[in-house]
Amino acid sequence: MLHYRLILVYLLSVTALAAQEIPDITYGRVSDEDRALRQVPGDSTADAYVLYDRLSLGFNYNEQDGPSLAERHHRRVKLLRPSAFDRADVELTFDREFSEISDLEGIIHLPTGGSLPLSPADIHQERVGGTREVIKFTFPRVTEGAIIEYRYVARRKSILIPSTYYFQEDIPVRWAQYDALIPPYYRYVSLTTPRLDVSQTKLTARAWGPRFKVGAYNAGEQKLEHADVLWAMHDLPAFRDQPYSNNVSDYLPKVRLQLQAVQYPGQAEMSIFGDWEETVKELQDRQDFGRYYRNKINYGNLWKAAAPDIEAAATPRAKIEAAYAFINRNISWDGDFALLASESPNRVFQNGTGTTADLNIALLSLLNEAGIEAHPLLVSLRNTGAPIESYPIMEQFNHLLVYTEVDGAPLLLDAGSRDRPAGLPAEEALNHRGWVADKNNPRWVDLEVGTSRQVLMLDVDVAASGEATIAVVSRMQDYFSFAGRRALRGLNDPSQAPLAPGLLRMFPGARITSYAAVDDTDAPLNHLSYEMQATAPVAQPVEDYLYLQPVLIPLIDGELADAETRDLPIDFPYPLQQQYLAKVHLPAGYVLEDAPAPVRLRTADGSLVASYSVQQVSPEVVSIMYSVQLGRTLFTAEEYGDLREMFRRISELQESPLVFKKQL
Amino acid sequence: MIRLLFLVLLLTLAGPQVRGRCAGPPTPGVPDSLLAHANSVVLSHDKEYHVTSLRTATVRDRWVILLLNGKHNAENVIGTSYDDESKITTFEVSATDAFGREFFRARKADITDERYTSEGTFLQDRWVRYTTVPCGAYPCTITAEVERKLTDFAAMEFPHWAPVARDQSLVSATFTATVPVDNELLFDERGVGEPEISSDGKERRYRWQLANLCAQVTEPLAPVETETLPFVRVALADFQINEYRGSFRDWQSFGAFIGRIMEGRDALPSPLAFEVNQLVEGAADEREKVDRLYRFMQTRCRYVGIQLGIGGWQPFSASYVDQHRYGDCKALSNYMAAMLREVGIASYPVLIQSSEVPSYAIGPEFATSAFNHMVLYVPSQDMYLECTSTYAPPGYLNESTLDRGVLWITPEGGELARTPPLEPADHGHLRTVTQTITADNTVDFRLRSTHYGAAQELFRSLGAYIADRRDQLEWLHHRDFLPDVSGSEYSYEVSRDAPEVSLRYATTLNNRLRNLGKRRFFPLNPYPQSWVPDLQEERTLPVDYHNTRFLVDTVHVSFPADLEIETGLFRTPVVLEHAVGEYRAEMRPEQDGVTWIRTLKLRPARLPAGEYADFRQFFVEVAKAESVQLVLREKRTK
Repeated sequence: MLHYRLILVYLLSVTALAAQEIPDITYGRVSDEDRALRQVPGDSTADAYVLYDRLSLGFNYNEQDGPSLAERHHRRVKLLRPSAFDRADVELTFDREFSEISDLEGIIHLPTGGSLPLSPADIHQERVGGTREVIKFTFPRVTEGAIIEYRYVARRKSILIPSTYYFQEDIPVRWAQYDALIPPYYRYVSLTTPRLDVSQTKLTARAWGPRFKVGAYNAGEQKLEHADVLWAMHDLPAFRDQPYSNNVSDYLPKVRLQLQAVQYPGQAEMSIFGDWEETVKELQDRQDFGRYYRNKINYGNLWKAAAPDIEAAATPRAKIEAAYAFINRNISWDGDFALLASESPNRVFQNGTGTTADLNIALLSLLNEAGIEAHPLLVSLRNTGAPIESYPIMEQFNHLLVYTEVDGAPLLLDAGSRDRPAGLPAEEALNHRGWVADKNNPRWVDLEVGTSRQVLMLDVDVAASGEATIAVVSRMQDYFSFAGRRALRGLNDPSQAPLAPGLLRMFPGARITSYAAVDDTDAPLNHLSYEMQATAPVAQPVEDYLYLQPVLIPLIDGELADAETRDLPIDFPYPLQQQYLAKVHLPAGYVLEDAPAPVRLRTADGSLVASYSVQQVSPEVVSIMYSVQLGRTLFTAEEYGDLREMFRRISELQESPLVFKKQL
Repeated sequence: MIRLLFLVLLLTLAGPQVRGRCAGPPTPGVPDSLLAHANSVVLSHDKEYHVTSLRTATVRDRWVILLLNGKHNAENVIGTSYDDESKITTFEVSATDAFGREFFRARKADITDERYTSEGTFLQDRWVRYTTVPCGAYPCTITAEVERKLTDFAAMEFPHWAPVARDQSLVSATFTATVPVDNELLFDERGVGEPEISSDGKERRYRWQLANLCAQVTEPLAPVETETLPFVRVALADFQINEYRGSFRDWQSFGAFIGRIMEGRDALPSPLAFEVNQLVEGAADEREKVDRLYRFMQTRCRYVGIQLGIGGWQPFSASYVDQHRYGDCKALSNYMAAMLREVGIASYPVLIQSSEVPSYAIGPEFATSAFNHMVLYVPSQDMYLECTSTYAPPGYLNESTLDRGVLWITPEGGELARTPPLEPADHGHLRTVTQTITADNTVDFRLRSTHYGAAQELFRSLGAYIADRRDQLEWLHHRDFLPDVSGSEYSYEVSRDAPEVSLRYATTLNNRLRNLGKRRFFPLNPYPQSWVPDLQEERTLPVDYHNTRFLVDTVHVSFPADLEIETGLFRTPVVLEHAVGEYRAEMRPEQDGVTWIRTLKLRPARLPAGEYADFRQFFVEVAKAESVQLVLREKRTK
């Protein structure tokens, strides 16, 4: 009974009970009302409607393989318009090494009456590649008002992490239900949305193996009281994404379970990722994680090649930089993020390419061998879910980087590009928090990075025709520097040079005449000095006037100012500071007649600040100073109104012309 | 869609240039002249095509490629496709580094086999085998050998030899085709020359070779590679697939073969035949019958790309389509043809390549299957029917299928034809925007537009695929068709019978006018045509411009009586002309504002490389003329 309670405690502690009538849905039978339904209540434009979706989690047991999961899916969708007909083409993917799909049935209910089941010939199973397979089927006689219905069982060999279930979708949902019948031996933690419409938990007796000898004459299958839970939501609107969002799936109501412990009668409790301390021990014992960077047999060749560089470095910081540079110089990133290494560091080095986990575990091995304390840092990439710190759910992580410290300050290393300096993780990794898999002290740390800076200094010489020659000198730092170096390395055309796209967007007739990084071999990788020359029609002469666009390279885009309201937080990847300083030389005889008044805009907490001023420096020279500073990366949806207003005003400022008049 | 006969999945073995630019720094092992502008060098590439019977053949490729930098076109991915009728018998890949040390040899674990599903296809019997050579440093030399044995339909995938692509140079390459003497190899080539031909009495051998070709640089708006790089494509005079014999001697023969494999697939179930006859009762003429049946098919069936087994070539029967109410382009075209036949209207299936620009121009001189799609042609109405669309008006062909060579499958065999040309007058928009500047500096914005022809396709699909009004507004806004999403009078009408879509929208904009002291700056044109071709100082390839549009925009601007136009008003129309377009804009003062009217006609053109600067300048001038700005200021007291 103790285990029941544990289950119940965990399950009940995260949900609130509510009384609600559970619909009694029988596969293959639909009501006349549903057949006749022609639009979603409250949403006349929806093209499809989930009438019913259910995932039932169950457990099986056999003596040979032990316990396994059986996830029974049952789905019923009303197709209201031709735009939804593609939903009748269904693909179910699975990995045959770990799971299988069986007992698939499908049926289409026609709006005019009658139903047609899928025949076995309509169901196609294909190998996709490796051990992945897909089952495909499409429904016949799809028409407006038809209801497609199908059900299947997905069996999974591992009971560790059942499938995550999402209640809300991109189309309205009438009823979504997740239920589970969990044997008392298994203790699951549940992360469930707090605003369920239905949350019911009870005990249900059910026969279930394994068989345990619990007394002299008592050795047989017995009925056990399972935790019988049901969570449901109803009448959910379609979910909508918004720009500058992060971790969008977090805002979908869902259920996510993870096995925490197993205890069979008469046996000691076995902890399964019980807490972060146990989790780190498990990981460190894995070949594709800890052993790859701690056992020299796995990285000896790599070390032999890198050692001269690393050992030549005088300080710990220099050793770190040398190891990081060696990896970036010799192993290319294959474009995939990963949590576990696919091969040993030796093999990855030999291949010359690998995933982020391959590269960073190889880097860990070098640091480890060089006597630098460093640990894997696991993160959930941006837009793949906010970090969950309360339980050791490994499924949340999908990227591995390296955590180390220099003079007591954290230093994050994320190999993968020779242009990205140490301390600058991939932008996708900036998801606020990460977990350091330090076996002595596993812990969560902030992933915030410092402010990235960019200064643009322009010297603009305007002719009476409005055509200008432009000289840009820019100092870029951190992510701006990384973007600049990357652009310089990959460009095929001057239009792709750093800063060129912004100028060309403003002035399609602009020409980039030259561009180059300023040769400074001593500059650290996180700094880039850059020069560009261009010509562009920056002013319009009309009669006695010259209207000049003073901001030639915009600092912000207008996307954030578009929406009227917002439901999701705004999440920028990193803080930034940009300064635009322009000196404009006017044609002879023109004087400044009109310019926007100097302005300084600031949100209440100072997290977004912009300033703009125009000054007549001398009779034919005007200077423009414009800056934007974003000091905070995360803004709530409630803050959107103020933020939008600021962005609109900044956008107006950077588009405001100056008026010059010719002196007669 | 019909699978492409010349599909060469991931095999980046395209063809060399007719002319190129040679220069560059010395590099050991490769002539200096071949390094300039190249991201990779084909050191050697030998293709052997051995026809062993009417229905079997072997294709073997051996090539060595030197990757010079990371800008190559994924040429470190070595792969080939296969299916039930094509078997890979050799697949060997290795690589060496700059010092000639082998660092990679593809093992079983390095090779991936995946199902290949082409775009728009749901089910397809097609696989791809590939390996990725981990070239971490350059130069990197890859040696590959791939052999496939082909039977039946796979044997109709005749090899196309194009051993060098753009940004790539070539040291040497050969193509050898061996054919039994009782068959005939048909070929078409560009920039390669005639083959050496020899025979041992049993087989005839054809051999082409190329050597020392400099890299041709990729340039925007360039013709397709088959127009500027050498290639050889081949076909067989006679072939046999299952019980069907065919020939590529001419289009008539190939069309007759396709007609034969479609035979007997058009029987309608009796209830459908009855329904079809009822449906056309009372129709005024044949055109109305076609219209009624086309609409009937559109509501009854949907497109699902299923190409299984012989279905890759042979359509599902009309009765299958009727039972399931879906099919691919062949199945739906066959179904529509069967219904037309039921009411006494003849029609021809049509093989066509649906794409922006066909890879090969279809001409009378060489019959091949360079097609990927099927539509239907009704000769009595001179009308094409796109049977995969559930929302196109009868007789409407998409821009991706207009103005190109096609093959009609007539009862007498294949007949070359051409789909209707693209005329600017048929594709464009008429758009009127009224902008009223109010005393509080907001702008009342009203839009009415009609988009027609190819310019309406996007809007018609919007209605077909996006049902939600908010989603439609956001979709239109993100593509700059609407200034915001919060308007009050949004309507969207899709013409049932004509390729026309009308849009109305009204909103109030508070960020369109920029105040500066006593002045108001107002960008008059909310929809400027601002596209400008990339700047190129040097150009070697001709310009191949494809746009065909006639765009008419009218903008009325009115403002409060206490404002006057300081600048921006012009009285002489702006007129620009070029081979690719005609531009005219004029402005008329009105009692309370101005009206700006602009017409822009764009038409396809092929221009010599030397005219690129003028071509670009036309669009620079257009963009400049489009950015009309009114400067208003408070009236001065006298």
